[in-house]
Amino acid sequence: MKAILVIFFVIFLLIGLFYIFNEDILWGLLVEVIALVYVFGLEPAYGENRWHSAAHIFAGGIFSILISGFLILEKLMSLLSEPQRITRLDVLFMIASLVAFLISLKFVREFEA
Amino acid sequence: MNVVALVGNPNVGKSSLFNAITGARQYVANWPGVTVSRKEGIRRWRGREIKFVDLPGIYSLGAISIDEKITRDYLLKESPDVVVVVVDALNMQQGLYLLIEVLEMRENVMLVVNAIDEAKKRGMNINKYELEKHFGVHVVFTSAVTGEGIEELLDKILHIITTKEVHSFVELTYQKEIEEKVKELEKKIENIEDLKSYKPRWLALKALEGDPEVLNLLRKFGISIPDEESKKYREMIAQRRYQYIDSVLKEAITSFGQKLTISEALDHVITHKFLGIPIFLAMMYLVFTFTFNVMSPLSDLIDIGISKLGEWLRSVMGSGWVTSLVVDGVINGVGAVLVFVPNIFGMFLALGFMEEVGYLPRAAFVIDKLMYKLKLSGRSFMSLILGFGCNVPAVMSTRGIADPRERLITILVSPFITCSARLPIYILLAGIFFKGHESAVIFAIYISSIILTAASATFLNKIFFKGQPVPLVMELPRYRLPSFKNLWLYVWERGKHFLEKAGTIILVSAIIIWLLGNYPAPADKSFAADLGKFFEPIFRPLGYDWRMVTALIFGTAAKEVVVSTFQMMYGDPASVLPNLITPPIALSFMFFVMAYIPCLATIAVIKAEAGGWKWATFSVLYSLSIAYTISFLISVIGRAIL
Repeated sequence: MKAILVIFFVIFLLIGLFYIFNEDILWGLLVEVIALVYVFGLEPAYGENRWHSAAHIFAGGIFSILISGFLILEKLMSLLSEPQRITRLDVLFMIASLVAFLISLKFVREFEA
Repeated sequence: MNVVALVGNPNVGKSSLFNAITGARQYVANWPGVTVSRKEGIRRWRGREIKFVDLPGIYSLGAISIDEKITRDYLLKESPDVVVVVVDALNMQQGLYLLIEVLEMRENVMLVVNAIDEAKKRGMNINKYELEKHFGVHVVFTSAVTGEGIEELLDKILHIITTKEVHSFVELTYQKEIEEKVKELEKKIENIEDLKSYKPRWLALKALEGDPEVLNLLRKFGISIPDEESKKYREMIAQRRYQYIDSVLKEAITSFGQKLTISEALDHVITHKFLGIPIFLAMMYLVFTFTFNVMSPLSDLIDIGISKLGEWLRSVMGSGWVTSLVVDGVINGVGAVLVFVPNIFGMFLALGFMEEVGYLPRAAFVIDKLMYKLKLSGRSFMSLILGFGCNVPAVMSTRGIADPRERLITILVSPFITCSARLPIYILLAGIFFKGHESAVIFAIYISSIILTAASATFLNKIFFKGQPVPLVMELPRYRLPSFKNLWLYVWERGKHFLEKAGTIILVSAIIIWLLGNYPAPADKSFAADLGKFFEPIFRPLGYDWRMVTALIFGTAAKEVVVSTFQMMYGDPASVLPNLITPPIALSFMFFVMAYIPCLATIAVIKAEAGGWKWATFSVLYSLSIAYTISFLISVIGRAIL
């Protein structure tokens, strides 16, 4: 679980930084919030608490799919007036979010124990 | 006609049950405190018409907050035939506390355990007969979502009405000291003719609990309880009630569901002490991204449609004052506002979604700590957040705030929360002056409006009021998948208000503005010009021209009218305004709109809720001076930088 938290923290941290460097600061900050959700899953106070880690992986998956969903929606709606280009960074973000979401679903069983 | 009252804690599903029984279409929020006044509906059942009354959600019959007072007064004075106490199957303790209070107060009470489907899903097994045995009332399990138990509930209500059956509540016995005091008081109360309509035991218990209304009543007859004693008795009474409830629940609930749920997992993250605020800001930004970026293409389509309609009418009707009135006045005036319908509906859709899934109460919980420092509570935040839709319900919802000082402050700062009527002005000006950064600018204005509200609350607290807030006591509702029907009702109920205004006040305003803007001569020799030019010197330091001043004056009727006025005064604001004012002046104007005089409807409701013209006048003058100061600073600093 720790590995998942670290991997997704790094992925979303980098994606967020790329958005910021590309002058899309607010989207970048939104992605950094997802990274924060993952990194707080590593809080030392909780030690090896599986439930705590699972909660952060689950929440991270939900937030990432929500935020990337908004991004897709925005790009799709722009087709009606001034079409915005879907960049490689957007695609990367969407793929990462989808993977994060699918993995988060696997952790639902942690809450049924 | 027989009358049935629905009573319960906030957010236990009373309104859902009310809708399921009566077929009403009252919006049901995943958010406590929605029913701020009673709602009525009629259901015909087995040949008999029954009136159902949905009362505001309360935690006790203490008559401290206005919600509690409405409910208690109704139960005491209107005397319904049956009182149905609704409790949440997943959280019965607080609801059963209210049940005991109602049972001590009156006859013909029954218990409904709602959301039984959720309880079953979680593996909870609730024994109905144990509840019936210990509380001596009929118990029905329902699910307002699936409709389970509704017919049984109606049959039981009919049974109580027709048989006039009185419940056999096993009267809760309190500690010896309390019982002795109760008996002593009961004897005195029984001898007073004016108190015959009350149950003596209920009055005695309420007096011992230190209920201010009951104590005032009894004082008239020479009965009083010292404060010190009532504080001690209140704790003892509450302790005994909870003790009884816990013992009943131990017997009635035989198996508990899983300990850790998805809801708890999400709460663990969403209400985290460090993550809570960034997540809240991210969610708010998503709301405005959705409102502006996602919905704007639809606004553009409507804009094109309205322009085409105007051009077509002009070509059909030719030139003349009638054409000008219809096209420039009505079509362009009302159309300028209608263009923003998708944005308004979009914002309600996003806010409704957050409310439906259960996020907003969490936001209130997260903000509560911050609000406490401002001497307000998360309950105030819940009222304030309603102001994003319209300030009128925001002011009305303060009825649920128990502390009168906190309630008054919340009422006075509510107009600073930027309502949906102001959104068209922001979108128009942000689109013209801050192209490509519209959602960031609008987000900044909304965040500023929250900061201004908080700062204002602190200021009012320091200057006029002193005291500590009542801490937020709120059950966090379960997360749920949004129901399409409920979401649509939420969006439609609020969006409809905007459309109604477009067809009424905005239409009338557009015609009046056209008349004032064209007579006795068009443009800068008109009555509207005289009005704007008269006040223009006051706004000169801010850099506004007389047309902007006229728009602000007309905007007091309804804020959307500012956009209509712009349309009529400038023709095409997008091409004219950049030649007249700079981006800092536009920003200053947006901030002025954010903070200045609440609309007429809000002023009226402030007068009604705060208890007179004194506070309504204060609100107008206070907001005007704040708006002027902020806008002046933005203009001056902006002009100095650029």
